[in-house]
Amino acid sequence: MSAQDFDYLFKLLLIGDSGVGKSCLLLRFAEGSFSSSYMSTIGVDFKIKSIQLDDGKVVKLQIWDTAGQERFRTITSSYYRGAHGIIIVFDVTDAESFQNVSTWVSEIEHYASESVCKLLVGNKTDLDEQRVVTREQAEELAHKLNVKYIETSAKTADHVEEAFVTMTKEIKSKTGNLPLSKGGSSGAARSGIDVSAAETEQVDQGGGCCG
Amino acid sequence: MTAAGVLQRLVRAAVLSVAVQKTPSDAETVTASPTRVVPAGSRPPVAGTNLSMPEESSSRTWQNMRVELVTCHLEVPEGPPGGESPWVGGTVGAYLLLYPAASLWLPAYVFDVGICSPAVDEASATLEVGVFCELPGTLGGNSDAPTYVVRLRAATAPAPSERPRQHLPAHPVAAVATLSSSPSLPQARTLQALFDWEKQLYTTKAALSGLSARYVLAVRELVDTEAAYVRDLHTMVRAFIQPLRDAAKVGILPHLPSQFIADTFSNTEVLLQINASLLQELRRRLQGWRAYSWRSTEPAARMPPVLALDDIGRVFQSKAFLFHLYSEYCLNFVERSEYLERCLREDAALRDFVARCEASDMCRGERLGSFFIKPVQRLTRYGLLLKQIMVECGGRACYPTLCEAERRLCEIVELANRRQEAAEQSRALADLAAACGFDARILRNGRRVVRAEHLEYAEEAGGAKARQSRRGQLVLFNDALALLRPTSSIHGNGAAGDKAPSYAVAWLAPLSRLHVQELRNRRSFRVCRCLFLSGESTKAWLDAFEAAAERYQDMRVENGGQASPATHNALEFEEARAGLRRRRALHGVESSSEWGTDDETLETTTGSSELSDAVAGV
Repeated sequence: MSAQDFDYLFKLLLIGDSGVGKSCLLLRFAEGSFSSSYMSTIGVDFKIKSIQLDDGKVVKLQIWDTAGQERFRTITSSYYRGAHGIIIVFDVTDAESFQNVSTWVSEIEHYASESVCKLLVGNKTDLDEQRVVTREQAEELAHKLNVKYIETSAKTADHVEEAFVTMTKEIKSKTGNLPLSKGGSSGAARSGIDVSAAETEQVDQGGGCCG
Repeated sequence: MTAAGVLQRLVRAAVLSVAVQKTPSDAETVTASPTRVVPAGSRPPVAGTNLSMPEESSSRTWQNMRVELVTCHLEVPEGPPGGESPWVGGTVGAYLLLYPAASLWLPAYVFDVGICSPAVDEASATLEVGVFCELPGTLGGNSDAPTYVVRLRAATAPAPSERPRQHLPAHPVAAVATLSSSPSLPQARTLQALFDWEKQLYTTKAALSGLSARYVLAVRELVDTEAAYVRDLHTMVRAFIQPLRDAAKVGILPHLPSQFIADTFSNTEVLLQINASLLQELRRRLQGWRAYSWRSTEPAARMPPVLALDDIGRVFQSKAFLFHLYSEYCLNFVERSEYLERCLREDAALRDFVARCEASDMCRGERLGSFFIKPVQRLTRYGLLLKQIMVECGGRACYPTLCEAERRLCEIVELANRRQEAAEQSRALADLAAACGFDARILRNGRRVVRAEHLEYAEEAGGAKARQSRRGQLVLFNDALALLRPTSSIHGNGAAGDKAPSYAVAWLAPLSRLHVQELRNRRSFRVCRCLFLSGESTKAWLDAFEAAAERYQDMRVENGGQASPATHNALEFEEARAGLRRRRALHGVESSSEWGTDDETLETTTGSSELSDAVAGV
């Protein structure tokens, strides 16, 4: 019955090469913790986190992690359906992960809905001395792909929240003023159902709900 | 022994609500020998403690107790004596002590952590500790059922204030701007505290049995996440499939297609069976792992020769073949989701029904869509989880088995991936054939679409007249190249959202007899007497041609030998590109406004303004 405590529900997806820190970003954002070596990031299917935007609206984010599936692209593509936002993560200390960004973008173009929001994230900025991808390079690519770029460090929590909030705001402005819930004015059980129904319709416009 | 002393350490303490329950089946045996709660021969580590044995009546009742985790370490004053001692400086005992609030100096229970198997149950916010006592008949820890189940949860009443350390450890509250979702904040904090307890118990137990804590935690993560996954599958079956089936039976959903369940949920129920039994096996390994406090100081410690934990790899090996059933689930995942969406859109009764299902407590606020994808996600996780165990097992004897299990699982996922890919490709081909009015030339066994794009093109018909450029879809198959001409619209702007585009096959040429030539401006190429203004994507097209032609390359070598390739029967863009490069070197790279002299067709096509633009753009 947690259907009423949010105004919007967005489904986000983290993609990128293996080892760029997708799971760590997710863990840092959703739980405020970082584990450089201790596992507990692997088995996570998705995390839910509610954030409140400047206008007071509460957005519930359902963030899916695709760790371990980098090799299996067709299987991974199953996730793209119904995602409102996709965060493409690369590692600023790993040139290859940066080069592969364009491959990931083409995957998105192939499988995700056209209206999906994208965000490019360069992770591991705390490892400054090992850095091989400069901010300029990344910004240039982001500009070419017409997406925003944010540099984060899951370890020090730098700009992690900013990345997710930016994504959320963008989705919200893109989906327009179609709140998924009307604030839960009706009775508890009924409104739970109403919300779901309204949501289904809304998501359908965005290109499918059951991803 | 004389040189060593025992150091006691309080690792953790908190006031929690506790319920101790004796497993009914073992009740008689336990009452017969109640001292089994603590391994025989070991003294309770807390000075002046009398062991009061659990009473039958006290089981099942919740009571606030102070829970302490105490470890004992061997202290060796002057270094390890002789070096051959197996217990040098290690943890030799770990005990879970439960003090009733009334008599703080007498623990009501003392449990050996080495025979405990803790697990947090998130739904009820309880930490369940199964205590596996060694009963007279069952040497070696074979019994599956715990002798005692100790349940711990947040204290019901405010903690007694005599001891400040009795409070639950405080946890940082999330940032100001963020709100916690379900569960509510205090509940989440309690849960976190219980998880910390669980982790601490595992770490202590690992130290007791001389294992790396990380290894144990890696195994635990596998088992924990498996439990969560099985619960999700259960939810899918119990909250969606069964109600839908029942509803269809009694006629609540009159418009539901007869095969709806099978067409949407595929073999979810089979997967549930597979994973439920896998979970059982894994749990048995985790619970079967016993270490014994105190007694391990004796050289002949009664540890089982093979630690049950090391069997994880074998469990997966024996079950690996069952995972092939996952590829059925993955295979048409996209189609099934689309089908489900369509049904939900068209059938209001169904939509309402599913929404009701989603509102049930079992779903914990998750939508059907999220449950739907979990099997796909879980399948790809096993490799990662097993790899983690491999890394942490530190060269134990089980390493090769784990490797093998990991390899086999990855193979299975790979296969599932390939099957899904193939299914997707045949679907793309079928869609294309349908768009072409089921032209017989399109559909071929084993054919797949490699690349398709709407391109501007000009035909090089007989004379050297200026000709109009047109738009068409160029499709590269793995064995042929086809040009599809739009039939519906006049100026077929492919990018526009045309509902159902239809095409006619202009030509379809097998790759083995294809001649592709890149033009000098690098923004267009020529094939089958057509000039394609591919612009930016020229390189991608040529790369695709090259990749597709590779298999014909071998044939060419076989046929004509390395010296003289049968040029008429092969792709020649390699040569063509080499030729271009040579000529560019001669004329200078910049002077590309003229066409090459031997490219007569190019000269003739410059009449089209599009083409001139393309040329000028270089």
